[in-house]
Amino acid sequence: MVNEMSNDTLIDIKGLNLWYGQSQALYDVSMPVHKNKITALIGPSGCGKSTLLRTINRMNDIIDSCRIEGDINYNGNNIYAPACNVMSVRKRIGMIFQKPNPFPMSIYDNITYGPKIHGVRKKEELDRIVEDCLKQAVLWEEVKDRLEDSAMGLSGGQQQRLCIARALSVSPEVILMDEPTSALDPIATAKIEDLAQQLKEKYTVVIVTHNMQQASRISDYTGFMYMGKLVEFGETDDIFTRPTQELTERYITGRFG
Amino acid sequence: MMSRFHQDLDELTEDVVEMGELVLEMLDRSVKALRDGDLEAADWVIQKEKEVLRLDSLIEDEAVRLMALFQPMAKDMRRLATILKMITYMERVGKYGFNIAKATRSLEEYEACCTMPSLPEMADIVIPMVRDAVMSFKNQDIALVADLTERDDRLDAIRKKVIAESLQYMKDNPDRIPPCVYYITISRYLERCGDHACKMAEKVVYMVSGKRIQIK
Repeated sequence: MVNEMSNDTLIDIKGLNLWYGQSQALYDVSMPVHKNKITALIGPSGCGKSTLLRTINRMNDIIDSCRIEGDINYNGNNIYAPACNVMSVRKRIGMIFQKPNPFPMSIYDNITYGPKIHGVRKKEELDRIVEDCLKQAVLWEEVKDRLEDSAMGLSGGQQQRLCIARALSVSPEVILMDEPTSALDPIATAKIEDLAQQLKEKYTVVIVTHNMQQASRISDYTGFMYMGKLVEFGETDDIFTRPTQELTERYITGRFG
Repeated sequence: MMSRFHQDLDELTEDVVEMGELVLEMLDRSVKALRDGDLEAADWVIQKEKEVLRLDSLIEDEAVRLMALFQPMAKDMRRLATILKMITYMERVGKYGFNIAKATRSLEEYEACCTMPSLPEMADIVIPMVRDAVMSFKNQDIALVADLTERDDRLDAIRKKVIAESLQYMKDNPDRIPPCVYYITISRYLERCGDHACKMAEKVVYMVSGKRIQIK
């Protein structure tokens, strides 16, 4: 298992335990997230992979009964330290959800929503952000002539790419994706997968997926979780061709349960 | 309950073993045909070539189908990758049996010469090598092929002896060159079968353990 802090470790999860009320959902999870790489989390439903993902930008804070022990060091600072500014963590670590969730407003306004909150006012600057983010999300060519149209009129795949563009608008360093293609058709899925590959040049991506082929196609590192524990973490090629743990082997070869 | 994919994969594995047993039988009978001048046995081997080619295509198609439909992972993928390599090596072994049977037919008009007994001696080493490689695949038991390097070395030594003795014999008996050329060629076939057994064993080790080794 790889859990030493190496030079390219951007996020270092150490000894993480998490409870929802009395029920423990994560057990002593330790793993690195490498900079400019895609890390995939796989495992059966309820194994804790989405919970783990949501700890990385403190999304679990909004659940009252949630209690966390352990550290998540991001750029060397523990994001669970009392002095940590949660808003700045979430600005630097953006999130994409399973179901596309554009705001019920224009395509343009979806992208500028975040920058405006963070104080960007100049029209030229906002225009530049919209174009830049839509280009990075490979959506610009499809929507450049109808930026004022409602985002709700876009297809599911376009909406998801818009959500990615929106996440990029506040210049994050990390993008968390929680099953970002599970509501999309195969073509839209392939576009998001290609996009993830391009995004890692500038961003660090952590993706939760039920689709093992997707994990094996797009990720550099993979963690396999089972019943709240990280069973195995390693380079994706190794995990999918010669895993070291019997449990991982059984899960990825479909001999589970 | 076993998944459909794993049932199909097990059936495919049985087909591979069946193909392995067929090429072994062809090699065995071809050498016996050569030794005993048994043309009936040679003809049996020659007509089995089509069956080898049929199994080769059938297994390849099925392996590709399973990969396309089920996107196998880890040891399942290693097994399919191994199968695709195994059938190529086994097809070659069958082809060498076929070639030996053909040579036996051509040798009918010649009297055997002194180097001929070394060929069944090579076969006694190489046939168990191929058999153990196939069985190690079937049983996922790499212990069976642990000593293949030594066995292959012994095979190579006899092959060298065949060449040296044949050359000398041809010098001494220029009118007996044709059968000796056949014997040298057949020794080459048998030596190559040994190499293929080693390659099969390397793949089986990869299939079982995920580790790459080099036997020769």
